[in-house]
Amino acid sequence: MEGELKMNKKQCSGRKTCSLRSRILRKLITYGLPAAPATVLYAALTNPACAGCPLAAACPLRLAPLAILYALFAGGFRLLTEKTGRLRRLFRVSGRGLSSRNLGLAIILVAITATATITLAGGGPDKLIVEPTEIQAKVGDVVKIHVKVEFAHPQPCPAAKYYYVEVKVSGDLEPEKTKYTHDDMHFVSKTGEFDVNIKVMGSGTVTIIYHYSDKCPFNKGGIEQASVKITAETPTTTTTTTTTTTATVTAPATATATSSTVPAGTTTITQKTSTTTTETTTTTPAPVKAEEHKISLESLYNSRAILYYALLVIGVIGIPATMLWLQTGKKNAIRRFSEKKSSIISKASTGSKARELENALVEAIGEAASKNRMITKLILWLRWALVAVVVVLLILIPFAYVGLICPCPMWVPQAILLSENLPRDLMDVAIVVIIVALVSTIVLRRAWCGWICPLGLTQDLLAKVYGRARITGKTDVVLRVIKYVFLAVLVILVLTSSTIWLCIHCFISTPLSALRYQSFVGGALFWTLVALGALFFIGSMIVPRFFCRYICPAGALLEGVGLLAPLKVHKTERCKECGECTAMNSCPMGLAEPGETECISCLNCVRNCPFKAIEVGSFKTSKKG
Amino acid sequence: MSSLKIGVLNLAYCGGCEVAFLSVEDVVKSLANGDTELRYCTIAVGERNIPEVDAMLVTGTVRSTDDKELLKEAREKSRFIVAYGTCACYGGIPGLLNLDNLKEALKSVFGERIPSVNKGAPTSLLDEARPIDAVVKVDYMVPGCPPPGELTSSLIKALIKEEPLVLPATNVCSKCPRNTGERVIRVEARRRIKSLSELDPNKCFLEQGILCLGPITLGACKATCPAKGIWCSGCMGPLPGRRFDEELIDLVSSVFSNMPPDKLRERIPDILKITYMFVAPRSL
Repeated sequence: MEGELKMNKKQCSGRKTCSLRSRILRKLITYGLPAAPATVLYAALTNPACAGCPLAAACPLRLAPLAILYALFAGGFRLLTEKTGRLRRLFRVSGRGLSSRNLGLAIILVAITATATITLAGGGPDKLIVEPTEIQAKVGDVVKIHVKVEFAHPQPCPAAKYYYVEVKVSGDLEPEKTKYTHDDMHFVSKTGEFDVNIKVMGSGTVTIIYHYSDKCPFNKGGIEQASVKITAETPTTTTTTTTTTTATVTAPATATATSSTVPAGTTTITQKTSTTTTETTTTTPAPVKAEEHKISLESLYNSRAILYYALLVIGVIGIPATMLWLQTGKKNAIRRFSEKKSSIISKASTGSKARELENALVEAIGEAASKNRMITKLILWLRWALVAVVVVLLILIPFAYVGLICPCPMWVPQAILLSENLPRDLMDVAIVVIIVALVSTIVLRRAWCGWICPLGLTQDLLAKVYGRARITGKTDVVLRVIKYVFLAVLVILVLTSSTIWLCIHCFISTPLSALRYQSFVGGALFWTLVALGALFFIGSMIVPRFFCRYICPAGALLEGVGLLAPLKVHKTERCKECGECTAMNSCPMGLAEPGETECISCLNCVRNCPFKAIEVGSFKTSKKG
Repeated sequence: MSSLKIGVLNLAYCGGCEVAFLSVEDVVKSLANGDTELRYCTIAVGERNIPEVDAMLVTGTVRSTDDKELLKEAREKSRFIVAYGTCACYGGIPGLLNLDNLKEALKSVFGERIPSVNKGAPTSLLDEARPIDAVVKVDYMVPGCPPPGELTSSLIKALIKEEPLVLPATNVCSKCPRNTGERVIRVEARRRIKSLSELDPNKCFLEQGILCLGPITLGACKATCPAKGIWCSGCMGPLPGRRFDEELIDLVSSVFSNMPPDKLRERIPDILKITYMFVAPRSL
């Protein structure tokens, strides 16, 4: 830290603080230069399937592996330079980030990036809209069914040739054509429209099935379907009742991409009445019993991406924002006391000043104490609220619909790079995991590790068994390098040999793999992995966050990305050096000082500090630079 | 090399600082070997008028008009003014009267027959006690009640070399033997101490629910009091560059965070006078 301070002074000689522009420039030079070769390498090795996609540049799935490479270069060297100090001159590491004044700017940037990414990459499936859903027609008539496909992404799709709409009929109906392709559609923005003509010979059902392209990276081989019921009437009836109903079909991700059936209950219908002209003379709208939109587990599952983004905003931007608000409240209490004090003192010396002053003091103390309590409670509540959301959204709900998944920023990019291993039905969870992990880390350093990661939570709970052992000194440093080695090996393996790493470093993945692939059980590799898993499991019981400290390559990745974060935990000048913050092994990462390298922003130290002298903020106000 | 001429000027004071100064080993040594020369000191030298000196150590608070004039005279006749002791630096115990009405306080002490201090007497009480730097420019500040011997030794060295005196920037806790590094300040100090004999001699006072001002007090005293079983009452004053109010509210609101204001008042009666005991004129 001492070296950093000196260097900062040298860089900003003659000025108290650097300008924002120079700081950003320095950060770009510091971290951008090492990332440049990574970018070139990545561009050379990238998946050619994306070449046709106009969104490739903004695609989070493509950015994630890039971030891994970046972290490898920047983060790995950062660790080396911090610990050895030799490469420091080569890769200048500054201890400063954006100042708290620019917090708003940072939030806006993050919001814009997130919105842009969401809009461009799009979430969710394409929508198939068929109107009407029920037709009463005379025998011999030709009815027209209007079909619309609302694509989730801008058109034309690079895989436009491969998707099509199939028309299936049952009963006495004669469709004009059974297969409609991209060329038959009339496009308005992202929506493709066309009409299906069917000759009515008797009652029956028309099923319209939209087949996703085989090349679609988002829902390979999936389908969307809707059906139209056609009732034939006797020729004497002159009135035909038609009701147009927009059927919004949201086919949920099915367990296997080849599955061709969609559960009946997944169709939600919003009622919308209008008239269509077939050959009718009079039109009377008839009430149609349509299912109302209900907030169910179903819709929760379908909109989990939105919920998860909300979680990001609340959890990761909300924590520092609320902390800053409470800290300001406390400062205001002190300021008010000072004002009151001077007004009491300046008053004419009649009566007892002491009583008034004492009242003011006690009041200020009470106010500050309530803020202290709120900070303490807030951290605890937020932690458990986030745990609940993560468990429900990322583990329980996907488990109920799809099966066990790994919401891990390490597993997802591997699966994407080796696309045959990627379960398409989990794509949106995967995208959300990557975006939340990266964006939260860019806002508050390694907030993912400290607040969201379910594996971290598992270890926190495991550490309650014993969790008091310490590994210190050189052994600690050497062991901490292991995770960078793992990250490097992982990247090399995935990029060169197209072999999935299978997350063999992870003690959660072994039982998961065993559950997923029965063939995996047995054999030397399996038992080695079980032994390793058991080792980490027991290690986490003895040393808090053993896995995070020494093994987890996702941590290494986020450590690198987190260098860009403007916010971090730091000591302020109000620190009394009591050592309370890290006493009793309360720091899960075993750091000596709050906010050191590898800090996961769990805010345990903030909670512990009796004076609340540790704050979440920019680097600038940090006591030691 | 000529010897350093030193004087000790007394304003409103108790006499402790003077005695403490003269009993410091290094001072006695330097007087004996001629490095320093004591020109003016009520309890040691027969000089009645303020002579010209190199360094004038001022002890006590500016309490009366007489004090003010003496101090101004000393400023003219000496090269350096040293605020020696907490009274001179921050106002000290005599400054506590600032919190109350002066006339009422006098009445409560002397009854109806208030001595005629204001009628034709050579001196009269000022409305408020002030630290000496509110009246004249001060070159050195040595807090403490009385200042610890080591600080006095370094002051003498600094005076001889004409260097600035650097106070340590650490608090009492950093030197405190009760601070084991593994302590947990129980933020909710609910347990009521019935008698002092219940206190654990090796545990932090704050941990046991006693308001010790160690964390916000300058640690130049090397934590003498907590080591001997007395909690810190803040006689060294705040750390350099820190605001006392801020630090105090921080400390009390943290240690007694679960205590409503009424309970706090009951637990620590006269909290204002206890916490501002030594720094009232400076900080209020």
